[in-house]
Amino acid sequence: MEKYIALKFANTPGSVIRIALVLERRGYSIKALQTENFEENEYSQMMLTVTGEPEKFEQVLKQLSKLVDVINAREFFKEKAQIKGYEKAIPVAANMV
Amino acid sequence: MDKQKTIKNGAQVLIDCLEREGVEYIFGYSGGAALPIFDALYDSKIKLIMTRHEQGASHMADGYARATGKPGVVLVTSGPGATNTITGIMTAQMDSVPMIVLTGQTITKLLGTDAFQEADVFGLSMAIVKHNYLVKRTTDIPRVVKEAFHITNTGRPGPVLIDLPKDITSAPFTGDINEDMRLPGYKALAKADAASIEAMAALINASQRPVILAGHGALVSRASKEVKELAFKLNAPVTNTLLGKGAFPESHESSLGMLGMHGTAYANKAMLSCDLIIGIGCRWDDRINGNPKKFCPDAKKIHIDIDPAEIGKIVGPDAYAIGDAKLILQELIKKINPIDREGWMQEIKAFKKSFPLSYSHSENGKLTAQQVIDAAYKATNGKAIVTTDVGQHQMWAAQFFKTDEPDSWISSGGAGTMGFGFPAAIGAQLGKPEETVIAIVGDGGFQMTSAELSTAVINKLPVKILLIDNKYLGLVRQWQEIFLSNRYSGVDMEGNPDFVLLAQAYGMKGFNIKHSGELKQVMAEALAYTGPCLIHAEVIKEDNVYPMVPAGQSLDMMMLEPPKVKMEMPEGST
Repeated sequence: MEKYIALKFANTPGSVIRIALVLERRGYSIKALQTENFEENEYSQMMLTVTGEPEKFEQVLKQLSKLVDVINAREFFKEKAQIKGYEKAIPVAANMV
Repeated sequence: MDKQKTIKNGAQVLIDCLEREGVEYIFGYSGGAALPIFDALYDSKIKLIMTRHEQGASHMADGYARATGKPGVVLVTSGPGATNTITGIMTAQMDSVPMIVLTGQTITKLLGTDAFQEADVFGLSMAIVKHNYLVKRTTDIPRVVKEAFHITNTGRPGPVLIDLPKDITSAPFTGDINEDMRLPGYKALAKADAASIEAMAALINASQRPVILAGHGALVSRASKEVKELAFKLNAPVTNTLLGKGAFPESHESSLGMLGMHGTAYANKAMLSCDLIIGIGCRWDDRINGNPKKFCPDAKKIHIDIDPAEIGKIVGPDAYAIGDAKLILQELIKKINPIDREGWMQEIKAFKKSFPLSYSHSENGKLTAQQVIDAAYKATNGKAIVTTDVGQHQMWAAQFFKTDEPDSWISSGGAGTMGFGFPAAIGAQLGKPEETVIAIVGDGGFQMTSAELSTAVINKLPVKILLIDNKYLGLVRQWQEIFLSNRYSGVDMEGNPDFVLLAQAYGMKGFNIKHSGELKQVMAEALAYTGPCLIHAEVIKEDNVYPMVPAGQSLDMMMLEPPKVKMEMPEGST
């Protein structure tokens, strides 16, 4: 089943590999991937389209969140993306715990 | 003033940073790409423990960390030096051990050119560390070291590797040694929210037959006092995982000892009869649950863990709290109502009486491993730090060398690393010089890191190596006996050396025990010996660890004795 993940992470060397390793280890494939840097390239945002066993999806999100570089990892609902400013509503850095 | 003299290079600043973090020992092995760092170490008060192999260094750092709670530090060179630490890093990662691994690297200009002793250590180690760095600017060194020490020992501990190209450690340092950490994505939760505490307390107060399951996390958060308080307030039994040994005194009547595949029968019986499992810092792994789908389906489960990703990973809890176990238990204990559970405790007593943990003595005075381990336990009154390798000796040590205090059981649990026990004992002895440290090892595992006999002798570390020699890779042989019709393949340790002579060749005292008649006396003599020594115990070749739950099966499939019919090869794990 296709799922979408929105990720915000500190743009450090290797962060994309770490994200890919979490997915690979749990049998998830990446169908599409788009990244964008912001705040003078200090942070990145990634939108992922992935497929894999649905029962492992929550674990994938948790393991992504656990990465030291990752600020947040959320399931992204495409239908909500039409709403203006939805992407920006995903909290960034300072106000995220 | 001569400005030249005041400028330090990257390596010198690195050592300054390590001193600032309170590092006492570095376990290392030198090489070309690490030359600047070893040179800087020459002037430092940090003591270098030079090992004989990088794997030994990583296990020593691990043993030191587990005995003291402080991160162990490893320093090796690039390429093979770094790759030789991979097993040790993976071992630390699986068991949540704080460790800093510093690896030399070829100069930045040559990265990616297959330069001499170049390996992509950043990439190679990524899957087995909590975090890692490849430092590309000398000015980054202080911040990276500060972050590494913060990451390694907060939240759920784990190893952090720092790859340091030689030009980066050689270049003059012009940055700020007090630069702040930059970890916007790193979260280490401590306190749980009040609602989780309430939810857990409600389940506990409604439970008639609770069992506390203490894992390594209970020890990492130093919560053994709180585990005791909870157990006594609840009037409930406590079982522990392999790495949870010491979270609650195993010699206490409320202790069930270890549960799971080779756990005590009464622990597994209690798990099958309870109505609530209170898991504290455990990860319900396949050695504990057998089969998560069949694991105590009638019991409610509580899970306390500092790692949010552990919640629901294997077992879906009915209530949980994310945070530091000690702080959570302190809050939880306040909400517990005293309930009479005497009937439950009587049932536990009956389990212990009906299914005791015992072993039989062999005929003709030949030694059994259980008997040897029991003798070591009795000779020390259990007051020792025990390290082990992996295999039958490890399971027997877990069963018969009861652990009453935190930080006194050091074993490779998750990784199951052969060759871990002896170097880990060296690290533990450095961290706890006043304690008796016994490495209980098998003849297979010991030979993987036996070169560290030099390290123990040179540093005059009085570790006691209790070598259980059955001339087999015993646990694998046990599987082949039970499930594969005695088709022994790749388990015979034919050609073992004379271990006493081997010890003597390194300048270490060796003792031999062959017969049960001499066991008590030789054991007492060896353990009283002031320096390091090896105790070679020649035990019967074919003996099996029971109880045994075949991999992938539920706890009610536990075997207490050899099966009378041929068993099918289990489907679960290994």
